[in-house]
Formats: sequence, C-alpha cells, structure tokens
Amino acid sequence: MVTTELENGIRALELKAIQKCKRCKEIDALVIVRQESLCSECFDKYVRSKYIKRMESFRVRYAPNDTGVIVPTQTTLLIPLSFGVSSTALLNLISNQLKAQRQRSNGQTGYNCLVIHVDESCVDPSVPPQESISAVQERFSDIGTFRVVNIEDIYDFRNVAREVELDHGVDEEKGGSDTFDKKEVLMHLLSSLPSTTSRMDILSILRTRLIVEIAKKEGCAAVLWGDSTTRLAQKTLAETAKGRGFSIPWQTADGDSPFGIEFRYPVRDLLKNELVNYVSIPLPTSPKPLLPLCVAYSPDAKHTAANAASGRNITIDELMIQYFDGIETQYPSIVANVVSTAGKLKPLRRPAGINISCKICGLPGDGAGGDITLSALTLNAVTELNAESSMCYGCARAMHGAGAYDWPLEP
Amino acid sequence: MSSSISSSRPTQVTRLCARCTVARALILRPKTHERLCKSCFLAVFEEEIHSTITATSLFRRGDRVAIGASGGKDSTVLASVLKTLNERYDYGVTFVLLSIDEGIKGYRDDSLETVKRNAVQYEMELCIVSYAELYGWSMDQVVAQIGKKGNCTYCGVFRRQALDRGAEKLGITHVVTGHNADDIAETVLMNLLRGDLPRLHRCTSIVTESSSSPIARSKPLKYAYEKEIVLYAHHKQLDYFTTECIYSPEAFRGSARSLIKSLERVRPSAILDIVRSGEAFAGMVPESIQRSGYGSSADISGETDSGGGCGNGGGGRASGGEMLDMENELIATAKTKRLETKITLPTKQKNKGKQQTPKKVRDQKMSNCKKCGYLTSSDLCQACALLGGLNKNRPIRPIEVEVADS
Repeated sequence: MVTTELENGIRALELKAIQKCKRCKEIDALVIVRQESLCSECFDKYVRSKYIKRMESFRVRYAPNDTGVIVPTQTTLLIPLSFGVSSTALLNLISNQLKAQRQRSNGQTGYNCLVIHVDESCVDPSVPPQESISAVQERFSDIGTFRVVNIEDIYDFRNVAREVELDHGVDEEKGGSDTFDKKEVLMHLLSSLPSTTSRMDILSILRTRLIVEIAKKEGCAAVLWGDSTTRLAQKTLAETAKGRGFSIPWQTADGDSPFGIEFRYPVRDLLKNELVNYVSIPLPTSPKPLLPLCVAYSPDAKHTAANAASGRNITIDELMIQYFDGIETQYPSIVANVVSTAGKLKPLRRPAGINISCKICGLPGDGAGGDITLSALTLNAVTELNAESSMCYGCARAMHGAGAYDWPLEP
Repeated sequence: MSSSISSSRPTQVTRLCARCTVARALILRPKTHERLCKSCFLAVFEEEIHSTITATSLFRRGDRVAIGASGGKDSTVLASVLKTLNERYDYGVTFVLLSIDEGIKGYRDDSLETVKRNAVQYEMELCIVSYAELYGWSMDQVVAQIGKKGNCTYCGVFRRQALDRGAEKLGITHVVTGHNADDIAETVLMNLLRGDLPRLHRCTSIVTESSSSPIARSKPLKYAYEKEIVLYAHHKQLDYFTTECIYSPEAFRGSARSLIKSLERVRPSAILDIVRSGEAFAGMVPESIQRSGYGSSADISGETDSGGGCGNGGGGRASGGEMLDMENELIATAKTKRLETKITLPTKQKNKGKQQTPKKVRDQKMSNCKKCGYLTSSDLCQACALLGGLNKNRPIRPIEVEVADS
C-alpha cells in the first residue's frame, strides 16, 4: 500500500503494491504516465525526450564573424515566465539542455535566454514578482538574464507620433502634468470592457503583444511559450468559443507567427498533470523539487463545479481550463488529439490584396462584419463591425459595448 | 460590506420594448439580452430566419421542399415559420412534411400524432416513411437485438436513407431540417473533441449536398437559438412534442452540450461565436482531408451533420462510454505506431519524370448498391451492410417451443 502524498497534496500514485518501473524494471515506480508506471529517473528522461524533440534545432552552431573567424553564433530566445508549473518546468528543461551543450561543446551553448515575467499586479496582486523572480534566477542563474516588466509598459510601444498627440491631450486635461500614467490608462481600458470574459481576453492579448514587442526590441530569435498539451487544447476551444476560430493556427502552431517572430511551444507534447508531477517530485536533474518556485500555481480549481455550471463569475477561458483539467486525467489521448487536430488546420486563405491585421489582437483579420452570422440583431452590429472593420470578429465581440478607451498599439 | 444593498435596488419601472418602445417588454431575448414585447420578439425571430433564407438563396419560386418533421419543437417551429414567411414574402414554395417512423414505442408513436395534427394545422401534405416498412426492422427490434450501445449508428444510417427515399417518393430534391444554432455549435465542439476534420469542414454549411445522396439538406434555423425556438413555440402556442428519444447515449455530444450551455450563460453570444468559428474552420481544413469520409466508413457513426439526425445528446445522461472507447482507440493507434518500422525501398531513379505526378486525391466512385440500388461508394450501401449483420442473426422462422406431453 503506497500513497505518495507530495508536498502540496498532489497524489502522484496510488498502488496496491509497490510496482517496479515499467522501463528500467529496477527502481520502484513513482508516477503513472499514460498508463505506464515509471520511476523518477525514467520519468525525467521521458519528459526530457518530449522537450528535446521540439528543441533539437537550437544546437550549437558556428559561423564566420566579421573578421572571418569561425565562432559560435549567438541566439537569444525569450521565455515568458508566469511562475506557473509549465513555464517553470520549461526553465529546468532549458537549463539541462544548456548544461549538456556546454559539456559537449567546450562551454558553448546553442542559445541564451531572456526570461521575462509580466507583472500584472495592477490587475491581480496575488503574485509578488520581485521575490519570485529572484528565487527563480538564483536557481537557474546559468541560463541567461531575468527581467520583470509591467503589463502597462505596453503603452511604451505605441506609435511615437500618436504618443505626442496623446500626451498633449493629457497635458491639457491634467493641467500641465507631463507624466502619462500608463497604469491609469490601462485600468481605464480594462474597466471600459463589457465583461470579465472580455477583460481576461484582452489582457492576455496585451500580454502576448507586450512579449512580442520586447522580443523584437531585444533581437530575440524566437519566443518559447510554456503551453502544455492541455493548455493548447484549452486555448483551441476557448478561442473557438470566443469567435476567433480563424486564429487557431496562429496561436497553437510552432513556426513563424504573424508578428514577424518565431513562436515555439517546447512542452507541447506534455500534459499539464505530467508537468505538475515533474515539478513536484525529486528528479535526477533537479533533486530539489521546483514546486516552491511555482508561486502562481494552485492545485485547487479556481472555480467550483457549480460555478462552472451556472456560468457565474467565471470567464470563457477559465471554463475551458476547468473542462480540460477535468477530462485530462481520464482521457489524456483525447486532449492530445484536440491539439493535433488543431495543428492540421491551415490559416484561411484571404483574397489577394486584403492584408489587414486586426488592430486589437494583431492577427491577420477574418474580414469581420457584413455577414449574417450575427443576424438581424445585428443590423446595427453589422454596420458597427464595418465601421470597425480593422478588428477581427472575436475582438469586435470582446470590445462590443465598450466605452471610450485608448488602445496602445497600431495594427 | 453589504450594508446598503437593501436600499440600492431601484424601484420597479415598467420597461418598454427596446424595439417598438411602445409595448411593455415581456421577453428577455436570449441571444442579445434585449428586452422585447411579445410581438416584436416573434417578428425579430421570423425576420432573422427570413434574412438567412434570402442571404443564402435557399429557395426558388416553384420549388417543392420537404420539411423533416419529428413533431419536436425545432421542426414544428420550422414548419410554422416557413408557412408564415412563405405567405408573407410570397416565396412561391410548396412545403411538404416528411416524417420518419423509427419504430420506437413511447416516443415516436406519440410524436407522429403531433405531426399528423401539424399537417392539418399548416395545411401541408404529410408523408411518413417507416423503418419497419423500409428495412424490415424497427428501432425497438434493433435495440432488442444489439443492445442500446451503438444503436444510434443504425438509426443514423437508416434515417439518412429513409429521408432520401421519402423525398424521392414525393418527387422532391430538397429537405430542410430543424437543426438550430445550439446543435451546430455543439457539433463544432464535438468534432474538435473527436478530431473529425471532414465533418468539421462541412458541419456549418447551411446546405449540404453530397455525392452519396441525390437530396440536398439545409438548415434554415442555423442561427436560431434553442431557447428562442422554445420561446417562439410557447408564445405562438404551437403544438409540439417534448419527449427525447429513449435511446441516446452519445457521450461526445452530451459533453459538448453541457459545455455549450455553460458558455451561453457566461456570454450569450457564445453560440453564434462558435458557429462563426466553425464557418472559419470550413475553409481551414486542408483539401486533401475535406472530402474523406463521405459515404465511407467514417459516416457509419450515424452523424447528424447532414441533416435528419436526431441530435439528441442524452443531455448529460451520457455514460461516457463513447469517450472511453475513443481514448482506448487512440492509445492503441499510438502503440501500433510505436511498433511500426519504416522500411524505405530504394526508389527507381529512372523514368523519374513520369512518376512525379502530384498526389491525387482519390475521388470516390459512386455506384448503386447491389441489393437496394441506393447510391454508395462500395458494393453495398451502409444500410444494407448493417442489415446484413442484423439479418444474419435473425432466425428465418420464429422459434417455437414444443410443449412436450408428459
């Protein structure tokens, strides 16, 4: 009778009798992975192999420099860190890959990292960013630089000409004060939105676009997102439900994004609960579990089942998170199948010449409006959509009924 | 914190209809949360269906169109609205009611009575096609033979063909069905969960025509909310039947249905938004995958996407067996993939030019079923294939028990 109660109460394995690991057949099993009981060492290897498969291309490369001397090329990758389980696990995997590269290649690595945490304390003060990032930095000091940026910094990336104009306006209003209060403007934008679902939706768009802007400014070659299989499935269904089905390839596929920078999802082949196990148990590559670093993670569902059923105080994104967290344990292959199905969808081919990106999400628009999808309610909504045709259908839906706001980015 | 709550509620003011601003608002419209009076609600509901019909040029003057009528709320509302619009806008279309009698006691026998009354109320011709007559098997008999599991497969295949046969009998090439926006949104999510790309490609199109059927199906209620259909039926005092099919264990649909209901509560437009996403998916499925599954084995699962299906998800009563089956199937496929060894044969370098023709998407050759003459891509049509299995186990002569004298 073995029940492994881990630090925060995650039950990794319940077995009637101690089982040997199915792979090495020597050590006692500690976790069950897709119907296979594994020891910590084999589990560690399993996770690593899933990661490496997606990251092989970032190996040490050499090229001649200006003076013709062959030197290792320098690539910087941006890793957004939420202090959740997946992005923290990703850092450990990266750290191990870099260590292995150094050993093999005379201290050289294929890339170095810029780890960014987006501080959203003006919206949600539950994560203390400074202490948390120091703790993570201490643990992974060898992978690159760490930085905290504020979500409201997105207003730093606005078009310069427009900024002057706007500053001017603010000046007059505030009677000469020359500081543009980004935080206040952002809070105003969010509070003008019609619902919590819209707020969460727009906030995550702002986060993505801020990360993209930073990655471009810092000359990063790619952004490595920490999305697990489960997260990608959640995103697929949530974006479908928000009317942004057209954007799914842009939001879940490895490769060039419409923002002009590469997106990668190195832990896309691992389920959320596998990553939870990965950070919870002592592993050969991290004898001290990583869980204390995951300050944004909570094993408890954010909403009760009753909340989800009644639809009260819950957003569409949260509803999908809850849905897939529920089916993940019982039907992991179905979760993975959703992601592979989404991966087969190709971006819509748009008529030549029409190349407008949505001014809100920045993705190539879907030609919103002018369609009877909204039907007759919508005689007014359709004209409204046409007026704001620089928005995609999903963003038009999120902004529908919003008051006056100041959008930080140009399309 | 809640000290001032009792006094903060404004005194009840009579709200006026948001549309006519004259009558008192009685209905909170589920689609938009607008407050409308009864007559404005009925008008808006009809207008939206009219605009769907005109925008997609669904009917032509002189058409004879069959309404797939089950006696349930959707098809009853469809028949009523089409009659109203046909008269109001002079479509010049003749509508006929076409019903399928699956032979399910306690469900279909009662609902058919409703359809018969509807035929009188709407002055429409009625044609009933029964499984027992067409196939020699009623659904009650099928279930008695194979059990409840998988019986929807039989029902779906049988219905598809029965609708075609009924339409043929009436000399009609277009059947409209009562599928509403909720059904379509459900199907979109379900096809994502099942990873069914060919269906994802076609499940949102308003008209489905397929090479395996001479009859076009369409869904004029594609943008109508289920809740509004119920409200419309209620306020119009329509005569419809409410019992759901007693055999309906489709777990994926049940799972998708409860998800849709929650989403609708969070954001009322979510159903339309999913339909919109589904319309985008239609153009995103690669061409090589789009047509696979037409009339092939994938269609066996008796799906409701091409109209005529029952669409009863078992509203949460689902056992989950279907999802478990798929899970196990996916695991098995993954395992065989792992065991697979790729053997690459040396390719012939000569006559390279000839061999490099682009990969051809195999077009399905349609022929007539060797038994019943129905259009099919193989020797036997699906219905005959299923019937073959059923009949194999049916004794040629009923079993009689001899009472031995003692």
